[in-house]
Amino acid sequence: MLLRRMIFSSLLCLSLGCTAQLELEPVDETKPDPKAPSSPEPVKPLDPVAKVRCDVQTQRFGAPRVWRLTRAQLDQAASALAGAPVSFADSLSPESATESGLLNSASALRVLDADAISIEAAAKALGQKIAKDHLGELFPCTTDRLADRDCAQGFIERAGLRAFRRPLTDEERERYTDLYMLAAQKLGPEQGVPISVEALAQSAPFLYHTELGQEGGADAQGVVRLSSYEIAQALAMTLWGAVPDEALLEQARDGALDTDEGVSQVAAQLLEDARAKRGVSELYMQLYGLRALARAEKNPELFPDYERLRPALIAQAQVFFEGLIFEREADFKTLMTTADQPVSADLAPLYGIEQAPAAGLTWAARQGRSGVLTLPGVLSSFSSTEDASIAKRGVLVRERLLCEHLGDPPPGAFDNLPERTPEQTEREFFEATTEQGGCAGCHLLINGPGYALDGFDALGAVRLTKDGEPWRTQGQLAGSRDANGPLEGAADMAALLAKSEQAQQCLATQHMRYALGREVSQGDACSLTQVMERWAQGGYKLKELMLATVTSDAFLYRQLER
Amino acid sequence: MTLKLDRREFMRLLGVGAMASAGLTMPFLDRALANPNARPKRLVLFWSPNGTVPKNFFPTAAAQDLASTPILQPLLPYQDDLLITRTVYQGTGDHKTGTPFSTTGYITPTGENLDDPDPNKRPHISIDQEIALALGSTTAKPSLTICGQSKDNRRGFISANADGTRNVPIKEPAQAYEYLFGPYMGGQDPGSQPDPQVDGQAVADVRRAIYDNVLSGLDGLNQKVPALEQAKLKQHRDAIARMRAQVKDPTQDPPEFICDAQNPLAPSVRFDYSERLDKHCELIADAFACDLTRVVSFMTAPAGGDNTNFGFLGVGGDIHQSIAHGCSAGWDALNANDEKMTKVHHFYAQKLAYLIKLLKAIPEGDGSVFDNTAIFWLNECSVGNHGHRNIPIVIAGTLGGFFKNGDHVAEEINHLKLLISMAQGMGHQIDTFGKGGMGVESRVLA
Repeated sequence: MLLRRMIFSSLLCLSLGCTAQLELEPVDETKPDPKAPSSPEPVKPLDPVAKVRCDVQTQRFGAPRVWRLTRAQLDQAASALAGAPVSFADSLSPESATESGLLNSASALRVLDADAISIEAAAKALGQKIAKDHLGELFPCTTDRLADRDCAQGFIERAGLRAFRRPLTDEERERYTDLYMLAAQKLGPEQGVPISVEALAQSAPFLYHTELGQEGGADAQGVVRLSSYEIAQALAMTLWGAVPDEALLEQARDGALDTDEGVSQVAAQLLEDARAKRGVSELYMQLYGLRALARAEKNPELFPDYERLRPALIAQAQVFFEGLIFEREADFKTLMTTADQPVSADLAPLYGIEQAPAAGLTWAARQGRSGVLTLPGVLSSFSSTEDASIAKRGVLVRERLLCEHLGDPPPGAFDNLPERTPEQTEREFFEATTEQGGCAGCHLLINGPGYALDGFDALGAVRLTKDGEPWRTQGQLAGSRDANGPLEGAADMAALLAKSEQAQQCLATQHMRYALGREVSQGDACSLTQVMERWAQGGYKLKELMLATVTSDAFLYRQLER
Repeated sequence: MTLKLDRREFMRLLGVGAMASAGLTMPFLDRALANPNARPKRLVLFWSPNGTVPKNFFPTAAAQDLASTPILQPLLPYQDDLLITRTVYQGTGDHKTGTPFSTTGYITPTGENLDDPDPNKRPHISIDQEIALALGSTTAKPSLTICGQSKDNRRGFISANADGTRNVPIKEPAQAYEYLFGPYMGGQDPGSQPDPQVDGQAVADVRRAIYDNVLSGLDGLNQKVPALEQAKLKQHRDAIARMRAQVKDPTQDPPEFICDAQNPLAPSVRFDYSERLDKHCELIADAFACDLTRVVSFMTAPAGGDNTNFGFLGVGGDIHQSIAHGCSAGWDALNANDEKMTKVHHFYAQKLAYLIKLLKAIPEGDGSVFDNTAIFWLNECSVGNHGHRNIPIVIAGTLGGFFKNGDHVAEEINHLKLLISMAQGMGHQIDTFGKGGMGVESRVLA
């Protein structure tokens, strides 16, 4: 029997204290039997009978919304319009990250002045490129009829469908055709195409994903299902990091997404597409700090190789996640504990490998490595400019793997702090200064995981000794719901997290945050329960978690203003 | 028709040969009026992190020079233009509360708790955006928001939009250049010569029609979404409307000059940290010279100084966790970290001095652009090791005689009143700003 329970536990840790608030945690007390396929299987649609239907009493659905595409998605959208890879969003402002490192927060993605100007320049270039190189695919007539209104309208319909990811309305078709004809008349027939593309690529339906719901489809409580085209967009954005292709748009048109069962089937198909590898792993790249690594700096005197290694660290992580999630059909436990990592010649020194492996990246079990937290790129991202970082790595575990929200240092935390001497390791300094008094409340939660990961330097290389003594990585993971225990090092911590329901639920929460582009709150308890139940059915495979997320009620339904 | 002139040529035509030969710039002709009151006022928030080292920053009572302390020493040539003082922040004196409070008067980090029902717990507009909104479409760009180093969490944003969302700073000078001198200046691409074969009126008509299409789509969407989303769309809409307003009508609008940047930047050019700050200073000067904007928010580094490496100053170590947090209270015995932070703050003083120098070199009326400008050197805390008292403030420039200069106000002033004073100095007559802020700060006014 499914037990759904909201847990908010306040851990008051010693004196001035940190209050760690565990977020929403529905609990499934029935343990499913994990599947163990002998070879990778296609993702199967989920059994609809098991679906728990959420209603307004048990689920706070999101409101109708407009969600600007991220830069990467805009590049994909422009490429879909052109029918060839193009860059569109290079000059747009970088996305700002949430506490979990996610870059697609719908409330933060905007079009402000500088962005509007960059978009205009990019749209202009896109229009010129399509006119020059891709006219034949979109213009339905011969080029001697560039000023013919019927031909112009045909172009607008085709280009508009690609640009807006849905058919144009009658009003839109007329409006853009009028613009085409105005440009053709005033500037010359050959200007109709580039000018109208320039307008299409600056328009709201191109730049934003809308979540307005089926027109007239709201129930008595105002709950409305997203339209089929909106679901197609949402699925493509989440699973592919891209916009729907023509095949998916046709499925939307033909009603394949009109039922929840249909969504499940289509989503399963999308996950089998090659684009899903990059799309699904993007969540992991953001969550585990690899996107932040792209902007992190290190002291060049201490780490002269950092700039050279950084692309390799990011590329390694990409291969790791894609390989784990798709080729290896890994489950949650594997993500947390596997010693297998793909290593290139560039990264071999970080593993103490003297003989360079073959060209490319070679998978093998690596000594001293246990799961995602020991990937060099992850460790490097959660380091300082000078050294590893006990605080950053400890907070990584608490906030992004256990979904605990730690407060900021209390007032006066840094008053009278002794200076760290050059001889002191960071651990020695932390032991002397943070494990008593006002700092202890949070640091007894943070330090244990931080110590466990302290056996890796700021680039993620193993460090075994200091001054002939073994590098100390012992600690304690405390204060969690079910992941507590002594730690000899990273492997122990990985094992505790691997069998922790709190950690599992946290990963599911992160998936929902990513798929919904917003914070997940107590109001999402019902949908989170759906996700956990379905994930359990899928043997806790990572691919199944994404499928469960995009078939949840929170993903498919919105609620109109009350 | 738009004319494109090299600035030296423009100056020569005006008979200001000496300045032309020096390569100096001048605002648009219609701005260079005899009446000082008609000259544009400009505001710069020059923001650096980690407070200061008080002993090496604040002038002593006995000192003859205002700017002879180790940190302020680069500003010595301009000390008569400076007002040095200190403020008090609400909050706990850390980055989380100090960063937003420095510019918004609220302690909620920008972009967080946007939906909190308690308005005191939501983030609010920053003073630069408050002023920019008031100025409306006076200039082509409502404001310029730039940074020397970026951070994508709460530490990386000091400028906030009207709804408390983050106003993202432009880090690369090349992109800031594109933003300022971008393609729609005068309805024509800079760098291109007017084509006599092209009907400028037709180009203007089509350009406006494009914008009208975009606006129509936004308006249609606006009717279908809740209020929070409408606020988001409004920002987009306002940006497009401003772009549309810049389209010139050759048959009706007078010919105008396209004002070029002194140092145009290729899109792909990149700079190291120190040079990046210099380039941003030069872009600010160019923006003021061409009257492209009058409001600038310049975050030299994010709160805590994260991601910023000062090895080039001989300051090794993590600037935030190790050095800043290792500083003393900074008033008496200084430690090695205080000495390191002194070098860093001295570096920022050098950049401020450079900006002052650039603005003083732009003639305006009988003086320079600097005469009608005020630069506020702000911070998120008092010292590297946090603190909300004695937050260091330098006001460079009088904003056309509105602020005092050549003085040290050695008492804590009211920060919210200071923010209100900035607005009033810029001609925006507000009496309240921030949480509980009322009235101007008379101790800094002329």
